[in-house]
Amino acid sequence: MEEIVLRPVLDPAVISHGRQQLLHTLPKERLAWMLQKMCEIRYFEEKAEELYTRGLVHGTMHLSIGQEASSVGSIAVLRPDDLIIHHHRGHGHTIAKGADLKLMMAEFLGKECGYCRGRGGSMHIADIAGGNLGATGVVGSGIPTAVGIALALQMRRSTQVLLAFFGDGAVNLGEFHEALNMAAIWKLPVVFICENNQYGMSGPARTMCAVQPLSVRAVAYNMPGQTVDGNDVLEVYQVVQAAVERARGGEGPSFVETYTYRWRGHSKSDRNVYRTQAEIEEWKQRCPIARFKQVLVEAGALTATEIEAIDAQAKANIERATEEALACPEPSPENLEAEVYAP
Amino acid sequence: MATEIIMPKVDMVMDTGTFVEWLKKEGDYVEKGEPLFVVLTDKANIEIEAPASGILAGLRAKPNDVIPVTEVIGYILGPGETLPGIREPEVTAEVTAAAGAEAVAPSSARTVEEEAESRAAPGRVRATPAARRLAAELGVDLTSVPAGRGPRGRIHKADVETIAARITAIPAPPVPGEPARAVAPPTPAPGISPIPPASVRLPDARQKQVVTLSGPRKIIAERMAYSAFSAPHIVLSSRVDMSEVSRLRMRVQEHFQQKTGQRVSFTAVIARAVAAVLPRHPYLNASLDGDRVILWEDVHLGIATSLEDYLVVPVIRQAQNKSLEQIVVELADLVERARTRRLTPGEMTGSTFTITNLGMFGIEWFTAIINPPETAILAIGQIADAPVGHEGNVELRPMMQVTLSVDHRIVDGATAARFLTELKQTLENPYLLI
Amino acid sequence: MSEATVREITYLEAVREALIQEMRRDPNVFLLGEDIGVYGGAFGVTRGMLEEFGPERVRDTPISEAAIAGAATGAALMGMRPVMEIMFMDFITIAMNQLVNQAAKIRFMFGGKASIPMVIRAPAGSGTGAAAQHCQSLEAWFVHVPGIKVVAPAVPYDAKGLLVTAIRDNNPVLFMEHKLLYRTKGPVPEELYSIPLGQAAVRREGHDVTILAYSVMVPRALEAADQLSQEGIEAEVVDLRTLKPLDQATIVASVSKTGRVLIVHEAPRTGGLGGELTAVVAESEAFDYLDAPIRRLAGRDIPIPYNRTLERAAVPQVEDIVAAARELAREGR
Repeated sequence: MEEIVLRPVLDPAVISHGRQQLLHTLPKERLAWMLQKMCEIRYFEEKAEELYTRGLVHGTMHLSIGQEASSVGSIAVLRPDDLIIHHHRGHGHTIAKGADLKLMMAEFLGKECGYCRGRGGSMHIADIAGGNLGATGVVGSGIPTAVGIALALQMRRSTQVLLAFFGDGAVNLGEFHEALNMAAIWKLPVVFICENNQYGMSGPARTMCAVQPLSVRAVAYNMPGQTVDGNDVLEVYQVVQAAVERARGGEGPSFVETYTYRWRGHSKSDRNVYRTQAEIEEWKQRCPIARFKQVLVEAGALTATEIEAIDAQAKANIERATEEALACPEPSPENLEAEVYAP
Repeated sequence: MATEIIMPKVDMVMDTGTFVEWLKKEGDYVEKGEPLFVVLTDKANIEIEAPASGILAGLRAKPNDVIPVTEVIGYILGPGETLPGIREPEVTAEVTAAAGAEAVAPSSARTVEEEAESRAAPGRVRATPAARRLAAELGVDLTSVPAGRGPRGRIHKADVETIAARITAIPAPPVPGEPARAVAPPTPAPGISPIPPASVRLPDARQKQVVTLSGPRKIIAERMAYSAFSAPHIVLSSRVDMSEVSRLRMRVQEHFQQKTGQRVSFTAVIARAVAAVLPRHPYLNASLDGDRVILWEDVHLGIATSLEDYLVVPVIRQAQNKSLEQIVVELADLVERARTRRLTPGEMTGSTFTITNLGMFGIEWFTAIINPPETAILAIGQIADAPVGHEGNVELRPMMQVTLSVDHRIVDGATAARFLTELKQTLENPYLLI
Repeated sequence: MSEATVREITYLEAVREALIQEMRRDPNVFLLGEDIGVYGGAFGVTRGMLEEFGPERVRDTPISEAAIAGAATGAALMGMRPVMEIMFMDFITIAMNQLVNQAAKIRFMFGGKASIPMVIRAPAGSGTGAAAQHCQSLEAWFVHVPGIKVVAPAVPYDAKGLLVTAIRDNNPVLFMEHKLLYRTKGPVPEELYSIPLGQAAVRREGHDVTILAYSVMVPRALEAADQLSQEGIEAEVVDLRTLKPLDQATIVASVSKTGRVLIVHEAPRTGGLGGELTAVVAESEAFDYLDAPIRRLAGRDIPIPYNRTLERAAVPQVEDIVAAARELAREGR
């Protein structure tokens, strides 16, 4: 009987070498774009937090500050017509997938011109036309839905692929097992990306999951699995790229665990009682944006001045989007029933 | 369980039966099939047999009671059986809750709760929505219905229909000093029916629509047919010169309108005149009750008001004591609420004299059918300029023809003429009214 | 259409025919569910379809109801028209999150910029001796969720016409098939036709009492009405056909006419659709015509028992409908 082992998506030996290679093979504009998106995510979330403090954002929000490399590194691999489905901590994916920042901020503010016309809010942003098939607020719920999306792609003989994001909290749901098994038996064009930010609300992944690392779960579904440094945008890029190629080539799904950390609480009501300030500080030292900037300068891909300009541009983009979003009209509560069903 | 004795349906078109007499007494033993009581239908007296063997108990029907078919009128108790929870007989309005309770022997099987449930609290009526709607339309006061045919005396639509059919004979206005009471309904004359008998051949023509006679229309049909064929009508007519009423109306119009927000209608002035004159003509403000005539102190003036599909008669109570201004205001309110169907049943029943006006349709004159149990009705035609002789000249004057129908059983022609003449004089010199 | 030329087929065949004809018409329509391929479905509804449409469009799935529902939802989001089969309606509980939190919500939550055209076929109901976990009627849960439509056909003609409409509808539609109806026969045209959702059918006219029913209770109500007719009671039987959207106009018109209404369903009484129907009548203009209290005749508040006698006693039977309608029709008359 064959020994069952975890097959990596990409040979770990090539990752370190590949990182340097990427800095030279990827066009400069692409690298600049990646940095800009990471900065926009960071500034967007900081701005959203500020607006929340000022009472302008209703409800709650789940910030992904510290996890920018995971979303940008994955989505940077995609063709514009490829698709994503993601989760409640999904601002990063949305921005990386090319969302209009104004429409996104308008949704946070509950405005009629927001992506979901103020019906969804921060937790449910979708940009269907842009290939972002939406964030679900119920942990793990997007994973079975992802199977269906990928099934449609396969049945239509499409060359598009789907990235399905979820967190470490989702891997213990029955839906996760059902969906990964189904995607594997049908060899669907999907990459499952588990963003392990180490806590499912307060529950540590290291104690809540029976097996570590989480990518080992891939063995059970006979698909390649790999854990990557989720704070290294170029490492995420390399592994996801290999998984996307595999999916596009009809070889079926892969499982990528991006190991990262959220700096902020689970949501706005989190008092951070389950972890130490020292731990948070330690991870802040591994800031994915600072790391990327450093790597870019060291490799001579971008100059410090260029990086500063990109950073300033990102900040300005967020300021402008916020200003414009604040000016949008409020939705009307009339006739909402008519929107529930499609004609 | 005790066997119910019910008012049986012995005739196809029978809704109610008149109870004649018990052939056995409370507490007697009867054998199944033995003659038990007698019922009068519009055809004959019929003996009804006992439906079971046992002891008679809870007999509640009394001679001359008009009882809806299937209504329980007593029980036959087998060995070990007791009376079920009380259900008051629906007889006439005179049977009060207390009297109904007395009529039934108390049974040890009944609990206090059952007793409480069996009767609605004072002022509260247990009735279905359909019964309430119909009662409102027909002007039936549900608090006057002792118990319906539903569980625990709940009043159903059929109860209201039965009651409404009998309203023709029940004068509602109370006589001062005398408690409210109802009178036994008159026995309709044999053969009188608002509906043509089935043997009448229908025309051989293409049908456009078939409308079932039901609800208020059916009641009106029954009442009018009853009135037309039981009360011999005589009809008197007179032309009234309305010059002075018109002048009076012009003079006071602005003042009234400022004060009340209402215009003075001709109907209001005529109503005021009728109310002023009527107390001097008591037989025209009266009700026939069997072999006696009740002459009313109060003038409860009914004003026939046409709705889309039927008539209602809102009532101005004690009109003889009301000023023109009060009548204007009250009439405007009643008519408005009649049109929007917001009148309460009490506001649509109990008139002692009725005025009906078709002048606004340009009708010169017409005769009206008396609204039973009243003895007279006044029909008002249009006011139009007509040539009349005046001090040797022919002048155009606003003339109105009024036509009085009276029940000749009670009112003779001369009695009616005296009223009509005084009314004419009053309208031609309306300043007497103020 | 002359009666004589319409052939009679079973309810089961009518469901299958709707699936086949819609799959031939629209390549986006496909089936997925447990054992629907070579096995032909637990009740044989999809028997023979694998041969015509192949394993991609008649797709056997693992026993993973949540993933089946998710796969249908995702495919529908992409513009496919999946028809998923839940082997027994009871198992829909496992798929509940996908149906309620995903399929039903996506359209509204995303500001109307997506739609989920999918059908959930669910064999439901008792009478087969399969006991508590294979006999439930769970329609009330779904009627309660904005974003899902619920259809419960009672006759073969409707099974075909309503399923065609459900497949073409741009929303998640729960399609309840009663297991006892599968073998009932009725006239069904061979050609493709559709019946609009939200239209009840007056199966029998009467003026004494209205019986509101759906699914298997419709033939039972009709049989009861025939018996009542011999006693001089004429019941009007309204087949709701679609539970959501509900044809309130037909219900209100019928109850306004008869003044009495008996609501019959198999699902347990407490929290069942009957409560909603009661409210619909009570809040409508029919209220003023009610001449007796609104009555519900529903399944007892118990899990469906196994024993044949107990099972029968758990849900309304013809004789129960006769007794309840008779009592209601006579009350206060």
